[in-house]
Amino acid sequence: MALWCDRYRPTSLNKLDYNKEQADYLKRMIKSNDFPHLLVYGAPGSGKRTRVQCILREIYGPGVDKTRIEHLTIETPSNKKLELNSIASNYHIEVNPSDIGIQDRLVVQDVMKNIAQSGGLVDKVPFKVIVISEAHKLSKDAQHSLRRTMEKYISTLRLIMVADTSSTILPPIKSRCLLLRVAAPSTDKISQILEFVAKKENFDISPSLIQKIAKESERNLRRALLMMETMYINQSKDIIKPSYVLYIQRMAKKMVENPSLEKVKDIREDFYELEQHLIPVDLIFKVLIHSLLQICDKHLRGKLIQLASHYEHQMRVGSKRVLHFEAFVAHFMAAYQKFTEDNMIDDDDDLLAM
Amino acid sequence: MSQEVKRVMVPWVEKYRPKNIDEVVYQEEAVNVLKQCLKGDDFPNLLFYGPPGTGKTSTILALAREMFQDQFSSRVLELNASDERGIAVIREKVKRFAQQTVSRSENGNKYPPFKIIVLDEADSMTQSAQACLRRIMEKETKSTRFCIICNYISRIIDPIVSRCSKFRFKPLQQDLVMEKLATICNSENISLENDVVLTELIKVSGGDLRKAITFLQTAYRLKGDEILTINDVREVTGYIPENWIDMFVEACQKQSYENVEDVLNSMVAEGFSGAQLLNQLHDWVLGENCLLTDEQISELIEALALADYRLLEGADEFLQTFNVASVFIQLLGKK
Ligand SMILES: Nc1ncnc2c1ncn2[C@@H]1O[C@H](COP(=O)(O)OP(=O)(O)OP(=O)(O)O)[C@@H](O)[C@H]1O
Ligand SMILES: [Mg+2]
Repeated sequence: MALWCDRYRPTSLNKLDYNKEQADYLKRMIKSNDFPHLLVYGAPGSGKRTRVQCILREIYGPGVDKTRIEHLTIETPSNKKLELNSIASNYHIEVNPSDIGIQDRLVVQDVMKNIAQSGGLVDKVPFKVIVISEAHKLSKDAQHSLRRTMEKYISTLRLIMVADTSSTILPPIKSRCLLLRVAAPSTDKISQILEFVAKKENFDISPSLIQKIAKESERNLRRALLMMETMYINQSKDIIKPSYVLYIQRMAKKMVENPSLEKVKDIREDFYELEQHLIPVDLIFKVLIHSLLQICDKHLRGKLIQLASHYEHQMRVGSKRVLHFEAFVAHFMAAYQKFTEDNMIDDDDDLLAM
Repeated sequence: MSQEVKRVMVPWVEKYRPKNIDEVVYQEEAVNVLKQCLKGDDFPNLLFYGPPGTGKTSTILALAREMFQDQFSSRVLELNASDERGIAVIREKVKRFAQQTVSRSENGNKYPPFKIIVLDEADSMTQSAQACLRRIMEKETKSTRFCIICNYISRIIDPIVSRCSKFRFKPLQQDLVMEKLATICNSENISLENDVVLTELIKVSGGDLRKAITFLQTAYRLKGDEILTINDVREVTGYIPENWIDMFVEACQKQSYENVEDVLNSMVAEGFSGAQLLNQLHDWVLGENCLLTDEQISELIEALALADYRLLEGADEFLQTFNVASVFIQLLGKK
């Protein structure tokens, strides 16, 4: 049985619940046959994918929902074979090139070439669409390989790139696309949608609880629907906080209670545990920072953010994530300890002065 | 769905791409030399470099079209970063093409006695592929000319650079961009609320004419025949409304990490890009509303630069912009 967040996914631009004005603009654009390459960007869970599916439907009609999984095999220059799954209909193909890491350029080239050559014209629409998901993870190499192709094959092919952020997309790519920002639904809007779904599912839940879920979801509709469904399944009377939040909060406490090398090791295990449960690092950092900010002295806050931003960046560039995380933990513990000691001395000075 | 095949509209960047070399604006230096070359048979290898959307690709395409006219497709080979350009391909494709003989005349028309190979976006070619290219360039001097195009000349190996006539393409001057945009508005019947709309477009596109044209077209596409306002333009360029910048600055001025955290979380949820926030903060720092000392300004700009660099490498938007805010808070606290 489908999860609620999938079952209640709108299927046409008309039915989108929020950012309606944008949906109208898009409809008008598709009607005018003047459809450019798109870069659709917005926070995770803000509804980018749903919007893209609606766009495809508006262009091609319901046939585009009939998809199949296609296995792509791509040969590297060194004759290695790369395997990758894609989702395709008669009209479009969706790939996630970053699935295969640094060789993503080959995927992009291969897929583009196939579509460009097999030509457009399906059911009177002169172009096919390639959806590139997680486009913010595309390597610079892969992005460069898109540039001229985007110009050259504009008559038979359109790209729709879906990204969590536009910051990593290179300027020459951005200047070839329509930039479409998708804002996450407001907390009120989420409440409305939750209410609607609860009614449909005959789930008896109080308005105040719905509001609490909406607030807790941080404007992520998928997270909100999942939370409500979890409550429904568990017959729970209160919201169940995701366990990783509690887990990370405990980590924060460990970092400030008599710091030691032992603690660093301990926290390393915690980090592995979180990674095993597929909690993304940026989320770990975010929750950890949030907890530490509340615990630590206000004079240490600047240091905390500085260290976090430094090591988070290193982690993206480096290859072994836990290493950088540990370095962050150790560094912050040291700063915390030094700060506490310095201030004790200050206190002694004050005593002497008295 | 209508019965006839849907008409495709060409994007304006293609529609208004210079058809001949006289239509290329601002790059006189390159254009004048190239025109001289057109007259004689003496044609060098070319290296075009410069920022995006300044006319590099357009210039060579226009030039080649003038030279070869209906023979364009048999005389010009275009290879760009989207084609596989490993050593093997360079050897095969380029060599085969370079070695096809050409005659001076075809169907009674006279053409220059050589072919052109255009290597667009050459800065993404590997060093070894470039080395291979260099050898082919040496060997095929008789029948073939190369045109190498890149954004960063430093990524091209010296032996290639030294074999080419180099042309730098400059970011286009504002009034020229303005003129071009005005022409397009005219022929596409776009009504603008006022001139500020175009000025804003020019400001955000920073001398990249492609960007300016694309933004104009998307704003127009979205609004249909309604009058275009400055806000429409800002929306398609990803501009963050001023009140968000004000909220961010206020939170910093209040020295409140909690407030900053809230504002940044909302900004992420709204989908605003971190890089754009940095840009606009930069404008704010240099603007008249900013009452910081020179020293504070330079420290803040350093934080902005660091964050910008890290974002491009894929670092987290929330954390990196948070660090900028945190530096800002500390600067204000020191006063
Ligand atoms: N100097 C110019 N004169 C006239 N039009 C220009 C000029 N520069 C850019 N344009 C316009 O911008 C569009 C893009 O230009 P072009 O493709 O030549 O840029 P480019 O320099 O090759 O950029 P990139 O480095 O991104 O490949 C053209 O279609 C044309 O409409
Ligand atoms: Mg170009």
